[in-house]
Amino acid sequence: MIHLICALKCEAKSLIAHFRLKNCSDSTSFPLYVSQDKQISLTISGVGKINAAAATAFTHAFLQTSKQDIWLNVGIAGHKDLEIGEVIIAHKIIEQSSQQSWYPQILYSPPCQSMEVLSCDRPASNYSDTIFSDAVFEMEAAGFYATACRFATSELIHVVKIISDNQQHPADKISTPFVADLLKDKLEIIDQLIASLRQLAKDMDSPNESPDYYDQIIEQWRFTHIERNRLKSCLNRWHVLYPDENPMKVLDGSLQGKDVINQITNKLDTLPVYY
Amino acid sequence: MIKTIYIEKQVANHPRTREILARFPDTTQIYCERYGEIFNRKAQSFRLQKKQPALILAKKHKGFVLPAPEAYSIGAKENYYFSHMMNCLYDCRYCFLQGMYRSAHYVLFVNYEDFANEIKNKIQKTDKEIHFFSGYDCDSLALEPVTKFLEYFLPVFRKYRKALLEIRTKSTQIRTLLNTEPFENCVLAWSFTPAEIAAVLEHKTPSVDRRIISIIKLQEKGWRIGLRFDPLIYSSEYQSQYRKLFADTLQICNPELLHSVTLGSFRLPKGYFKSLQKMYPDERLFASPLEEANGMFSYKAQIQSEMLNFCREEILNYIPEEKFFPCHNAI
Ligand code: SF4
Repeated sequence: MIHLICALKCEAKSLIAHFRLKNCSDSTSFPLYVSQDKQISLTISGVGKINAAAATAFTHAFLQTSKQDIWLNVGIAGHKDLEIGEVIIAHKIIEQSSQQSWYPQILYSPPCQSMEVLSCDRPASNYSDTIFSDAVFEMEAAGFYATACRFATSELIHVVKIISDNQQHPADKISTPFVADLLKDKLEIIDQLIASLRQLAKDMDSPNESPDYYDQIIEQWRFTHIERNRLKSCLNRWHVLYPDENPMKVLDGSLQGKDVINQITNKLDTLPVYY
Repeated sequence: MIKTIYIEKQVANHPRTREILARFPDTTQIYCERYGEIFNRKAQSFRLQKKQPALILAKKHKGFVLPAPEAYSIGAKENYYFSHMMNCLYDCRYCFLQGMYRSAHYVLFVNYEDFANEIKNKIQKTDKEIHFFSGYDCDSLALEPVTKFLEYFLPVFRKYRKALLEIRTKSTQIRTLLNTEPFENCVLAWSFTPAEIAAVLEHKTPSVDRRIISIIKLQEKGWRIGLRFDPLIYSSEYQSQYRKLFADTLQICNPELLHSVTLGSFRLPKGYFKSLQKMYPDERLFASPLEEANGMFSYKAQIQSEMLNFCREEILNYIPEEKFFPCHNAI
């Protein structure tokens, strides 16, 4: 599943329309939208890193997200001289107040340039008077990223910013419709980024699901808790070595759970291993 | 192909850093305080990072030269290893590095001079024969065009005849070696599993045949060679597979230049094994007849001893016993 976190309704508007997201009325803490197929969610966090962190944690708890999920913080940002509408992805996020840094891992060819992002506590008005003069300024990335890393693998968590203000076009000139249009024009880049991340996520460690015959065996014989774990690991082994064979075939006349495990293990140890 | 380079600020002006950065002008270069900010973070996927590892240029502060596990010995009483790098270009499924590190990025410690000083200290403090192993936490040669490891360290060891350097590799990056005069106290040690097994388990490595060609070329030049059958991997056809591998490798070795042959069984600490199994749940290797004893996973004792005995007998058909060091363990 993909989770988008936006600070403002105007940032979210085009994404909601583009992905045909529906408001989830059960969510009372933060406005939350979900696609019909439940593959994309969007949460509006409000401005600032604390809100971003809270909305991320809320999304995780509300949707029971998994480690393989993709997380994107999408929003507007300022820079001293990048053009308005330029899209960047963060390769380093610095929390201005603590000077703590995070390094999002870009393991694909990004559809836009990558840059340092400085997460400020207050809107930045001075674009040049700073030691991070080449960074992109915004207010949510640090809170979002640090929190999302608790719930997913860092390679699938990214921060995408669209430049809304610079020295020539300062932040006080930004209007709500202007932000909505900025985002609307960049949906293609966001689509490309999501496609790359989806591709990458396919290679995540696949959860070790128990083969179907696990339930059949559990129903037929009695196992203690420890025996169930042993059974699971020996059936996984069976599944890797003999994916097309059902181990039920080798089980004859066993009366106790542990006999079942021993029979399967013995059989596994006698079957050939080929490379 | 490296696309991202992280650079610790304290080595930003080190000549080796500057040379490497100049070699990769099109990479994204990101500065950090300490490499651990990237390498040691939680919530990383080794498997995903292995698709596109970044290079991290860092400074090592301590532990330049460490005592080598006893099982590593190839004849000396004093054994050390040193790692100028962490992680490897290759992707062997049995590699313990995948279980040991959270990140698959390559960390290169650019302060070779500090390693060399520590090596010299160790050599000067003993009058015994002393061996140094490189290639424990990485493949020593695989990234040679970037690291220039050999260019720096071969001259260090050339000066000290009583100190033997073993360079452990699966690589065919031998240009520097072919352009360098060989010396007695350097052993180039290639690791092998049979071709069928290598094809399945040793991803991204040069084929067994290409490794053999490298050995032939280096022998012609006069370099001393080691053969490392480590780890031994079980298959139902292991006897024919290993018999062929021994014939292919040991027969081409010039007995004068063959320094040593070692055997190592497949062993992984339980924690590493579990991480690897989770990372690759469909991997046949981890579904093999293994057992856990004393916190280590290895082949069942009977299989292991049968394999070791078989391999020992086969190997001794080709080489004298004094060049054979059995029972090397992967860890
Ligand atoms: S060559 Fe050695 S260090 Fe590299 S992946 Fe294979 S086992 Fe690991």
